[in-house]
Amino acid sequence: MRLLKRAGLKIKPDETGYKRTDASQESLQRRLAVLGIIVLVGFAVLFSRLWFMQIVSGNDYRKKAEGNRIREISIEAPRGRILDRNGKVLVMNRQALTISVIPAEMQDQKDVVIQRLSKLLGMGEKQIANKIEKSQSPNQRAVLIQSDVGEEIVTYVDEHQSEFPGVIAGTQPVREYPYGSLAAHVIGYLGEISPEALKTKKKEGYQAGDEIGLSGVEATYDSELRGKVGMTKLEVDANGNSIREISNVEPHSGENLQLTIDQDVQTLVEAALKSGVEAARTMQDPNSPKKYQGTGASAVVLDPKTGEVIAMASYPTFNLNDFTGGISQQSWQALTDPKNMYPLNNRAIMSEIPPGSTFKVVTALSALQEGIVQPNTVFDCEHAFTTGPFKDYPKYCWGTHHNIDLVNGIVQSCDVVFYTLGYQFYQRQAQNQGKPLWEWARDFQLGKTTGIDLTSEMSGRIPSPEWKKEFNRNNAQYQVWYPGDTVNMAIGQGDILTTPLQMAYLYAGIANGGKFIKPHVMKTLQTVDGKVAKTAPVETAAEMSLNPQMLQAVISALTGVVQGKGTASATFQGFPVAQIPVAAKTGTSEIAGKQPTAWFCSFAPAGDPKYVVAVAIEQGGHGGESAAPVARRILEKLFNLKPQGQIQPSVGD
Amino acid sequence: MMGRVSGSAEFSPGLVRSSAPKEIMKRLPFRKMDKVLLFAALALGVFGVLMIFSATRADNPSTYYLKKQLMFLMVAMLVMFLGAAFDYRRIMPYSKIIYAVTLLLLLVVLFFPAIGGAHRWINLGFFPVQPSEIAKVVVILVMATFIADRHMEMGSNKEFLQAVCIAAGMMFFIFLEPDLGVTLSVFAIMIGMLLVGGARLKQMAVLMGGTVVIVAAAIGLKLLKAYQITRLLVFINPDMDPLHSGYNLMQSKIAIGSGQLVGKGLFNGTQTNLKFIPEHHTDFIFSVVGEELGFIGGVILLALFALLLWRALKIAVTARDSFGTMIATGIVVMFFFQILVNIGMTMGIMPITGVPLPFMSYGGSSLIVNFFCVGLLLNIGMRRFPQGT
Repeated sequence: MRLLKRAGLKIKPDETGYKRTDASQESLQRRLAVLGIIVLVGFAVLFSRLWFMQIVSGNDYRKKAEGNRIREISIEAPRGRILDRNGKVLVMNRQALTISVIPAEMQDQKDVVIQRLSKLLGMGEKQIANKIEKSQSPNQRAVLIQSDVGEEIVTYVDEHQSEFPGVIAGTQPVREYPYGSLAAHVIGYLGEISPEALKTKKKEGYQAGDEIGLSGVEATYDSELRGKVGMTKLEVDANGNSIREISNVEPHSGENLQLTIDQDVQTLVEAALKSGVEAARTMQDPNSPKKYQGTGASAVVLDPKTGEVIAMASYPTFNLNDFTGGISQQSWQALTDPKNMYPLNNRAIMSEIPPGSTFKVVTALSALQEGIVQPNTVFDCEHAFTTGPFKDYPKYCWGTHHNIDLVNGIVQSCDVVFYTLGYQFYQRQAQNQGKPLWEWARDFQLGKTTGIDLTSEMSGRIPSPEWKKEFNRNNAQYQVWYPGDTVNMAIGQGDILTTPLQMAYLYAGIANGGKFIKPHVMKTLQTVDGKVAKTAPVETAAEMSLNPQMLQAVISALTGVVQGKGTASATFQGFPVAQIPVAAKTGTSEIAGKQPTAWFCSFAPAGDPKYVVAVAIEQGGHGGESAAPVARRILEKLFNLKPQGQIQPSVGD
Repeated sequence: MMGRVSGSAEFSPGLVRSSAPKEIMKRLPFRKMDKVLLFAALALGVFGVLMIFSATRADNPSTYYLKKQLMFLMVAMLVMFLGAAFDYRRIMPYSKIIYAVTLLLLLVVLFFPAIGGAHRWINLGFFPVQPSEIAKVVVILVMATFIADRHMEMGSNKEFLQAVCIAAGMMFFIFLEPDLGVTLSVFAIMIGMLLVGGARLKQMAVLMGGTVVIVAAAIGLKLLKAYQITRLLVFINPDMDPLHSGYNLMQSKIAIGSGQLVGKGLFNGTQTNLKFIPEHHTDFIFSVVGEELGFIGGVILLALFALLLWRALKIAVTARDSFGTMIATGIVVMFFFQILVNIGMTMGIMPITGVPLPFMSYGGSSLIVNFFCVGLLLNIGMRRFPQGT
């Protein structure tokens, strides 16, 4: 209080400052001078220390700084495993011994180190240099040079580390595929992330040098499977010997992916498809001196009620193990060589082929819905279709069916029946009457991707006058939509293209009475401890309202295909169709300049469909003779039937 | 141009309250302001921003610290102006209240959540305030008031003890946070101000002896944190534990030494960029200077500091009254202690105590307080003449 009072007084304007005696002023100056000298001494100390460190010992410190390196070693997170629908492991991880290189640490010794590595690993120097160059990771990240090296190589590098600056001998989890090529197209392969992909994925935490799924579910579910990379920071000396660990972030494993694929069924489907192609290659093509080439084939098994893909096979196929630890140049060349018919392509979703007669269900159902025709409407097939403008340009049926109604037209795949319907559709559309056939086809979900959870799915094509105009925008004379365009489409020929999966989807929709459930291959995503993190939903993509009577008529016609006069009856001899009625349709589609593609689309049991099976053998002949036997083998497996010893090919469409 | 100093520029209690800012500017004796001191402080502030940017460029986003420090610098300028605008003698009557409020803040901060093991910040939401930084300048003001009020007669044992108690009260609370760096700073300020304030060497010897006893007792009673003891021990023998506590020190020395004469170039420090030095934007900012700008850069920085202290000492000598002298003395001691301990620490001749380098280390509270001190120095300097001249 006293202080405050006094101080308060002192602040009066005219009483500023404290008067000092000369003596006290002198004493103060002396004291401040002492303080000044202390400050001066302090600065002198700092200055000399700085001088000593930077000028006198600078070189020593610089050497230490140069030897000072932090090495960041990313510990790859174990990628999630991939299981089949019953929990069988299709893809797992194992620790592989690896040789990697940290480019930044090789510095001027790069060439020598590459030389030594080349000798040690038996790899070309160029190949190693390429890998380093290609990796585009300028940082401290290790570039994998070779996976699965021998233990002696790892030991050698460890013991001679000074000869290998920047080289790391270590382990890394790599993919292992116990079944080799099984479901290779669905699973997909891994590779280093491309610079383009990196640009868009950087935000999601992807880094240069990351392995990423490049196809199949490895690609679609990459972010779930990959987990989080761990990181160890090591301090190393100039030779790369680790001095100590600075920090360590444990990797976080990715989720396990359970597929809808049934390993057992998939195995059989792939084997059946392969023997189907091999059988086709023994058959003589009647239109050429050669046998059928069987350039590729695919098969899809769907559960129509859930959209689950039970099996999906594509031929030719490839061994996933070739990709482990980076695919060799040689293997990659073989896989991309046109001579080998592109084994990496998943033909079930990438092959766009005219569906041929398997499309007739769409024509029949559309015509029935439009009221153009009744199931018992009778047509006259005298081998050629010559109505209207087709008088001068007749279109031919593969047989001569005489008087035949719509139902039998489906059973025996009579083209004249469908030419007639197609022409009626053409005439109606010319008068703007009713819904055109191409719109019906699109309602049946053709001409667009199914949206399956796989990469590179093709959309196929449903031609229409608008499409034709746009497609030929530079060729005015080809822009006109002719009667033949609709008539061709009616039998699944001409410009129409579909993928095998789309056809399976179409038949699943029909089996479901017009309800299209989106196909998918992911069943669940599971955490490392087996808890289900996500279950694939049953997603209704579209629902058509179809007249049940008409639908029933068509389905029962389809069940006739595998019996009696049906185009696949020979193949299904001995198949218990009474217990398990099979609704099916054969197809043989023509592409100019190529041998025909054999189609077979089916579902069973017809009344309560459990499975849809679609098979396509490209340049493999007729549906009945090449595709139907494959489908029968698959159906036998699906319904646990005793396999028929010898399956007959069916002659016909 | 400030215009002529008119009669109305005379000191008057109503000054701060009166009229528009423009008027104030006109009336203030800014013409007599120490421009060399101002230049040194501003140069240091800009130097600091540049080095902080260099040290934190690798962070994400790279301009995070740069932007914040620039913002702090602008606030600090304003605070510096405020520190110079009013007549410093007006502080005297409020010194007890200021002291009480600061003690309260130091008490309140203990109830805020600990960051990095210490209760140092009061989070105001937009800006965390560090009361211990404010405490440093408050100790200076309160001790200056006391010493001036007692006519610089610290040679008397009673006055001496009272002055020690003023500082000790602050130190006690700051030590509880704990903030060893500021505690030591306050101790240094106290010693310096007592010496200049007329204390006798015998008194100082007793004070030092007492301190040693208290510290020994504190260690005995385990009041010092384990890491603080370790740091002190590592300072005595750096090879004892080179991979942990001594590691920072070793890396800092390598950084500075490897800078050699001209340095590795701004933004090019390998030690800095590879993050060998933790806290390189705060306590170890001098390592970045030494590494990237070399001996030349280091000497320029030391020269700027020397210039600042020289001008501040000059102001202490020429101040019109004891109060001004003591404030300037306290500020000189505070800056000098922090410069010596911080730079010495990065070069391995001082223990690692967590004392920031004035104007250079990243941190808002510290920067603002430092510029406030510069403002006070300018204030004392430009009012050194008796009125009317």
